[in-house]
Amino acid sequence: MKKVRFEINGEIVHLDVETHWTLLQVLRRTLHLTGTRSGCEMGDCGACTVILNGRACNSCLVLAVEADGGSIVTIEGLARSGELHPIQRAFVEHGAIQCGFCTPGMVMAAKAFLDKNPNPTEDEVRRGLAGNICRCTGYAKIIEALLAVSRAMKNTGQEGAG
Amino acid sequence: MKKFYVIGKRTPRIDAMDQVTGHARYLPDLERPRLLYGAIVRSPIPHGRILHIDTSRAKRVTGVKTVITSEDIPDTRLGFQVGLANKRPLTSDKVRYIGDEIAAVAAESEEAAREACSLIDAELEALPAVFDPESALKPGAPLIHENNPGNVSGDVHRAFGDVEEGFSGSDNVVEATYRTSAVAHCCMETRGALAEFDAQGRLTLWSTTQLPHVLREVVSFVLRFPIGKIRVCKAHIGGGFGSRASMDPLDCICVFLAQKTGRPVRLIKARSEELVSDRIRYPMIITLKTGVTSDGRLMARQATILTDGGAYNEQGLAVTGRAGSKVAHLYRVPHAKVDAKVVFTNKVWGGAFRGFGDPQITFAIESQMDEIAEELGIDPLQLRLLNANQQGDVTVGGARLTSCGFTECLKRSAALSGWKEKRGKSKPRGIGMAGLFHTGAGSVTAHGGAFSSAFIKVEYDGSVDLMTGVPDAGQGSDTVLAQIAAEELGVHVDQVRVHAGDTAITPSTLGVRGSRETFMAGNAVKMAALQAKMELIKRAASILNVEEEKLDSAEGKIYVKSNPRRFVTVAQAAAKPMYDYARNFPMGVPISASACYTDPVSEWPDKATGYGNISAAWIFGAQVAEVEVDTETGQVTVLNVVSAHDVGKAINPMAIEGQLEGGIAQGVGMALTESVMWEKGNVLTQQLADYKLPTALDVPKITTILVETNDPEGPFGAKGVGEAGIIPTAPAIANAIYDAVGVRIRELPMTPDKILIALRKKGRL
Amino acid sequence: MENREIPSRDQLRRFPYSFLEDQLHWPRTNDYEDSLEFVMLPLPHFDYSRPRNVKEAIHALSRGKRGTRVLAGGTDLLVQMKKGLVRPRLLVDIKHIRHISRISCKSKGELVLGAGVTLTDLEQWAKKRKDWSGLSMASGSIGSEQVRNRATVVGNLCRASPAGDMAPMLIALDGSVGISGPEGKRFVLVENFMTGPGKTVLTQGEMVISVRIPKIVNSGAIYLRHGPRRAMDIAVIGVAVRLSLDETLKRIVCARIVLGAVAPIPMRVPEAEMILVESGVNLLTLQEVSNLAAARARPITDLRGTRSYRLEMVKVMTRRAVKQAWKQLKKKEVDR
Repeated sequence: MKKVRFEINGEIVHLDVETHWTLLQVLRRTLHLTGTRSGCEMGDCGACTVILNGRACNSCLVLAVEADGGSIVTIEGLARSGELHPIQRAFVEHGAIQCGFCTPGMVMAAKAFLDKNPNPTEDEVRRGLAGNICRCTGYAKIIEALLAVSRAMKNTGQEGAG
Repeated sequence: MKKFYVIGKRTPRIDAMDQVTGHARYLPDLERPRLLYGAIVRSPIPHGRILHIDTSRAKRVTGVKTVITSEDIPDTRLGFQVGLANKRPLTSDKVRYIGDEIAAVAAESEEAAREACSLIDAELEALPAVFDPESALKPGAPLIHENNPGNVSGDVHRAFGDVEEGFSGSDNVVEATYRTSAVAHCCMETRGALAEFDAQGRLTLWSTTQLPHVLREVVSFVLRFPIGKIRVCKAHIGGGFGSRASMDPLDCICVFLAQKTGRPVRLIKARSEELVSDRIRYPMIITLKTGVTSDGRLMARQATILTDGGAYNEQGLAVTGRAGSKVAHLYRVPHAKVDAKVVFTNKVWGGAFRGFGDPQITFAIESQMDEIAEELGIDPLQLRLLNANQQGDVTVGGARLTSCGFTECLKRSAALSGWKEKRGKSKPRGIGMAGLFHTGAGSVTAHGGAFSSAFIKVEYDGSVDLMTGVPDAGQGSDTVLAQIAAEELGVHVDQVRVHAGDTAITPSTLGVRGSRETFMAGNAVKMAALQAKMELIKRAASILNVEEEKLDSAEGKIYVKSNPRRFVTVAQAAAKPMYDYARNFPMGVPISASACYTDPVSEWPDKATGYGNISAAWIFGAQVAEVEVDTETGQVTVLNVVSAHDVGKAINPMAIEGQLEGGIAQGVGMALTESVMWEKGNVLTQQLADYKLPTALDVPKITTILVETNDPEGPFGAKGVGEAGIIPTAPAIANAIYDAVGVRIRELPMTPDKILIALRKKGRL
Repeated sequence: MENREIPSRDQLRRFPYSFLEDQLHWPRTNDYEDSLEFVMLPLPHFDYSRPRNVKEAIHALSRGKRGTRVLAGGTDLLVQMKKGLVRPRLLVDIKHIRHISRISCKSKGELVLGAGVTLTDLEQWAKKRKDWSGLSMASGSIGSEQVRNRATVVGNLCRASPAGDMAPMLIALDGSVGISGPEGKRFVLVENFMTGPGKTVLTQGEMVISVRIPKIVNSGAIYLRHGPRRAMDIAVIGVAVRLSLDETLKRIVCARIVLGAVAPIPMRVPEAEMILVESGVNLLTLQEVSNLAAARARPITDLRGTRSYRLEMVKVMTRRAVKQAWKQLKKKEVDR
């Protein structure tokens, strides 16, 4: 067992982990943050996407020990005191969710993407989400939701809240 | 025209908050005290006799609580069509495909379970195997099931009218063979189950199933266990598309493990395991012959279908029969004939998959329509308009079209896509079209499917609990049914709580398949809501001291029609005591309602001919795809898809669009990139990296048009639409490719190599 | 001698079809394996160390002997571990070595990429610099955002997949790797770094600490890859082309055509390169060059594509890449 320390959703946690545990395992099993999902365990589907040190990554391919000292944001950390993040709200309002299994990973990938590129074209949005597979929606309303969020952010001149 | 308060509104999913915050719990998120983890041992060879299975080493792994084989379970078989089922949950005599379930383990950890699996020694005597239906039919081919000589699982023969007469009366006859491939559902959540027995021996089974009530029956049958002691329920479900409307040994194996250990067991397939062993779309080889007059009227259509049934029976015959029926239904055709066989092969067995045979047959029919148009020199749109089914028609197969918007769909999709401007004019871009004909209300033949039930309970605060047997696997049924209940009762949608797919609470219905639940469950919900509404109105009438006929309800209020300012809230009416004596606290007899809807329209098909109106409503649509073909690489980019659909009434336009867009994306995958690939029975596509699902960069821009034809029997006029999106996409793209570069690809998926080879043959390279 | 742990027969049996390009080079005596196992956790047990400098890293790598692996991005290594193809006993996480993730332009214009530079780092950096746009194309073509945020340039090289995307571009740019080991430092041209599928010249205890690319002047560099989808796929074929002009900006003084996924290791087509240098880029040479490339390529048939299709794509993609590289050059000339 190794001792690790991360910041998760703004909170510092100290954990004992096995070296062979992935970050995804630790999030789900140790911290019971089950919003981050396992879709393929191989980095092919993006359902396990979290934001590690400011960048989207597939948590199934990151060892918990690798993330030691890092800062992680999961889907549970996005809403602030019950207020949905604009991306979350847009997903709900635009019907961008069907079965919902890919949604947490998709939302985190979207957030990381918009943080990097707040004013994207549709093609850029598609490329930014190419690592997240959705079998239900055909991506149409997901892209619509994100473009709406980026337009709204531009109009109010604000950065993504959080 | 009645004003709608809830119907027709773009309503966000009622569970969206849970999903978007990560709080929604799916099967892998469920915890039970002393939970064990299950894993399945599968055959590594495609065909062989099981000589001996040695579980001793596996049993010695620390943490393993039980190891079972076929010797530990009753000799029963599972399948959706019970009479045809020939798969034991754990195979006993022979293994028949790579992935065949031969043993299972339950252990304290997933690691221990998997380790135990690797230590199970199965002694198998390899037998020659056969991997495609044409070879399986040849004399001397290895026999997969002793009871099925020639490896024939079953056949379907239908004849309506007289095709010989039809062909002799035709001026042109076109014939060709079309092939579709094995496509995997790839739900984002893999299949899983969690089974737990309580101290009284009662079973609770959480499952990703789309059919809780049917699964309950199947488990009861397979386990030889009283159905009253079984409760099937669910967590959030991550997709279905028909895979979970088909049976899989996993649920029963999980239950056996729980039974043997006396502890709750969770069994979830790994992604690669799912890609190897879970249901697929039945591949078909379709030889289609159509006769037409020189001015474009269809005279006769004849199809021979060879379906690759895989190793065991599931729904091959039903899917093939349904596909065959479209030969008699899609477009007006006076004579039709189908001869079909379902054949066993040593590969994974198929199941229901969005469209249920219609995507396969529509690929053939709609590709051929364009080939006919070419031969006659008629515009493909005109050919379709000329032969389009119309409201009031009875097709030669017996389908009664009580509502039909086919012509409008064809015209509007063509207009919006720029058909006239683009057709034949923009090489190497091209535009192509295809139509669809499908059930909009399930079918009476599916597990006695022509009924649905609902319970409703109105709370003292005016909120509503709705109990329905339909699980929401993502298609949005919870929200749509809540909308129907809300509209009928006269409350706000957010006042309705939906409790779905729990056999202990919800009344029986078939479940999510066949695009049936908006219609069937919707009607049941509407009936129940109406009952509850009548009770509310009765009470409101006594509070307001007016006659019941003078009242109506909407948006949480029960009001006097002629003077809406006089009203009581639903909460007040719900709380009113039945007896008129003064009480100081809001206690009332709760209002509840129960209804069972059986549709009066559908009829059981004739046993001999198959003639009959098996669905209470039929849906139509037309899709136009625009593509660009790279003539050097053969790669096809779909630029956009315009899709018009007859939905009866759009109860939730946003949800319908979502379903159509998702279906179209699956259609693009099926048309161009998706295929399960085998080599000597080994599945090569064991990773999502290899099984090519469309990413956000591969799905084109999609525009949907919702056509409302107000079905006379559907709830508020609505019909089902869940499967419609995928049905015409492949032929629309095939026809667009032909328009773009003049090559006709008749085999799915239409990969770049096939297109390049075809271009070369035409001298285009 | 190889640093890479070769899966044993037993390990290979546990998962029949993993990376096809590996599989097809390992001999198999029977078509079916002894048991079917599926990827699921756990990863095998191992030790984990986080050296703070190169010296510590080398020490850990040489001490551990076989069964020690460098852990950089992990997007490939962890997948192989989950499939049971690789069972390291020690992972050496190099991401915290000082300056390992630096991208620096040296005084002579040479570009140095540390072993920790991720594909995203390189893509973002190179996108803003016209001279290095070829690197942006290559790194940006791999996987997805999530993969690129972790996977490293050097990791892609060391994986030595025949279908790898970084090697062809780095070879086209005359890149070399800086290797550090118990015996000291050495530099090897990327062109000589891979020796076979999954095999490099690295010996026990050595690791790549940087990639160096000489200054690019008057050049156009293009990386094209072909695959069934527009993202996420391993290349069916890849082509990197680099053309450099002399000071007069009229003559091609250096041409590189490097093909990926059509041979065990990326391959140059020297005769085709000569044609471009001697006769420039025109319709005739484009045809000659692409035909030559197809004649020299040795692709296999596998899950991702047939041999004949791949050969056809070599022709098409080579022609397109050369044409685009030429166009890029001309544009620079105009922009001057």
